[in-house]
Amino acid sequence: MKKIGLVVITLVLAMVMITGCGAKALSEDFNEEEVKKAAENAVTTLDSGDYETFSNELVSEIMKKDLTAEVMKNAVDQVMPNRGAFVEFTSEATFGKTDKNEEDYAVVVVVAKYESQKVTYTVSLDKNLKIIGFYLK
Amino acid sequence: MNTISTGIIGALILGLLICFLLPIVGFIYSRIRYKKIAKPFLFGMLTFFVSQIVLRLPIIQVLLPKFDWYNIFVAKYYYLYVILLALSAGVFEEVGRFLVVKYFLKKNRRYGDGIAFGIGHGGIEAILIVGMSYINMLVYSLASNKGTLEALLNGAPQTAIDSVNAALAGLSIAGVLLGALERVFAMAMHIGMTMIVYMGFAKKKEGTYLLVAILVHTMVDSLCGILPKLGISGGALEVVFGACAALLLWYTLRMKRPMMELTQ
Repeated sequence: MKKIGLVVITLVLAMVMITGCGAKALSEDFNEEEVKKAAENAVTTLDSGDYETFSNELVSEIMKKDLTAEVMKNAVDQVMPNRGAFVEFTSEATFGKTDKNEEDYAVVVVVAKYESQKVTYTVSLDKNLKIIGFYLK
Repeated sequence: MNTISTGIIGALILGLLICFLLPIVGFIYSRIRYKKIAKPFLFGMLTFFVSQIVLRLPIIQVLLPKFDWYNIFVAKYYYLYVILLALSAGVFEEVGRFLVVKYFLKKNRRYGDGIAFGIGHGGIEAILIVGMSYINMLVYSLASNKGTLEALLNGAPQTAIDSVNAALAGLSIAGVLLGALERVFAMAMHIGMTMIVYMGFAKKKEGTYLLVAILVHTMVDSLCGILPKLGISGGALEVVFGACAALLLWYTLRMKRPMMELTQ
């Protein structure tokens, strides 16, 4: 049984090491303040209900067909239909990631407080600060 | 309006039967084979219910998401989060098993008692986690085909109605049947992990065996969370899950003689 335990511990530790922490420092191609502002701007645009501007101007070309105005509206209606007025951004974290083509991109996790709830946004941005990923929960 | 095919409805009914009949058949089998197993079977069910439904899930789904640090951690360190989530499942369920066997099943530590406990634990998990969901999907599917879904959901917010329609649109025969098959594998794993804890008591090495059970549970659950992110398909994931179940089943069968010798 001790051998089985040692094998399992080794496998679990291997999983931790292989998968890594999941985050790395922001690439030098990005300015942290600009990245944060771009993410906040995306959130406030979405929050204002201007889904057309969000999709047409803030989303990268490759993601436009996925992050359409209708998709974003449905997401907002599903996750935060009764959120109330925006109060403040309570937390933000910025880090870097690499995509399948070895291209660096930035990720900002923004927690926004509204009158009735908190929403966590995860905004992924390319080097042109265009949105290549957007999640809210 | 979604039209749900006969095949999917059939799969939902079959899946439902598997989730509900599995523990019933398991109980009948172990009752005939090992006699007096009602107590460990029921405590097995109770252990899952208390450790997961009452304790762990509210912490994971309600309490922790209230904290900003937690939401940022989930997004920033996803793989580590998956492993810690799996570890939490291992800790809650295996410690729950351990405590129940230690304090409530002092006279129910035979091999057959362990089997019954595992069947109860895996069985109630199958019913609550998958079976109930399949009942809902079946009711919604039949209503959708009759054109009465909106009447059924009358009064529900539009977001709820949209969620139901999205869930119906996402149904597939393979997906439903794989979900039910996964419950069969899960039950085999719960029997195996119960047997690890039971062997600990039989060999008077409760702490060591508890630790192994937690680590095994953590590893299996971690695989389920990490592999899909690495691009592994649902079908391939079930193969991995099945292999884990087979290993634990092998362990269960291997421990029969040693446990019977230790507990006679």
